[in-house]
Amino acid sequence: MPSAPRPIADEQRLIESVNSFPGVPIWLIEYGFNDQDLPTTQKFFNESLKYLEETEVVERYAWFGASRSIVLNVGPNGAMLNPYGDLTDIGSWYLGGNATGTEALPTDKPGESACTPEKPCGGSGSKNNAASLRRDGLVISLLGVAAGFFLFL
Amino acid sequence: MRSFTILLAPALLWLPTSLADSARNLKRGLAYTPNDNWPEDDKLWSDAAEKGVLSWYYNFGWEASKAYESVPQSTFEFVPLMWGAATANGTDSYFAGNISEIIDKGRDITHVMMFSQPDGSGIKPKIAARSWINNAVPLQAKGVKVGLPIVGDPYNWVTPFLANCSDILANKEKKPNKRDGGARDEPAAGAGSGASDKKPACKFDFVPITSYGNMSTLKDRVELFATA
Repeated sequence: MPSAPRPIADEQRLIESVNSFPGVPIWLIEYGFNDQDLPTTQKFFNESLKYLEETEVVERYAWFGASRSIVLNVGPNGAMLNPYGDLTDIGSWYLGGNATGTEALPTDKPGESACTPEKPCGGSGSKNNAASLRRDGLVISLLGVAAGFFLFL
Repeated sequence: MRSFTILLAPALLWLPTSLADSARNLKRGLAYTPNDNWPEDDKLWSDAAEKGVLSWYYNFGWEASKAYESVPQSTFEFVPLMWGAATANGTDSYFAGNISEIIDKGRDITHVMMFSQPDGSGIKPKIAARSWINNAVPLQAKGVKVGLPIVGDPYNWVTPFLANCSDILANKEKKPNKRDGGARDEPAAGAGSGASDKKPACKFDFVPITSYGNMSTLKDRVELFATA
């Protein structure tokens, strides 16, 4: 949010009753680059992480995105979890790991996602694309039928 | 035994590199948002804290998250937030009371935050100042560090807030039987204040901010608050 200009009349008052901020530690309690495509988001994530680690006046920081992508209100690409709760690249990087290759959403466009907040995806560890969702569904159905068959026996 | 070790070796290679890193990241934390649908996700973050990758979290409220109730402060420090004034005139001290009770029950709260975007939500600086006196000052007297209200810029709302806060303190001092939160002391090194030479200061120990935008925006926001 850009700062509004200070009224001139308050300058003197400002100097007298000053916010003596310099040296006071800063906590970046929410940050991100909202509603961007994935490469832009990831580039920002990595650059900002380096900057925040190196900048002394920043005492603490917290990336905003510790949610599954389908419910994140700043756009899905900042999410640290995919619809199944698996760590995305950003999620893994934030937790000190390597890229996972797990996409935030099956496509870059939330409207095309097979998972929605109304019908969230369950389970975990699934490869995050529409084709494998169908395949996994089929496998699970077959296993269910087989299990039922053996129980029946 | 030897063959067992050979079998084990590939497994050892899979150990996450973070296990080898014994330094706790004191900067990196978690902004925890409501997660009723998938409580199984909560453990990811506390596991990371156990490994020292994350060291603190907040959840926009004053109570520790249920998922982390048994996680000690030394592993995953909970930072309470007083979202706004509980009563319209800011004269209550519910937050201070609640946090004091949490501390007495054994959770060593060391930092709290006060007011989420009061310049956006329309809490008047004067009301917030009153609420600060009733809640932040008693906690500071107990050694808790308190953050400046979380605002969009360090002047528009903050200047009158600190001025009002200072005024209230000055008035309190004229009446010797009023509670004193010890704010007449010189601000501690590294603490910020809204003091003038003549008036007592309302101190703050850190400045929580937010930033949404590109690197340029982020750097600007940090510098804006660092040099205000």
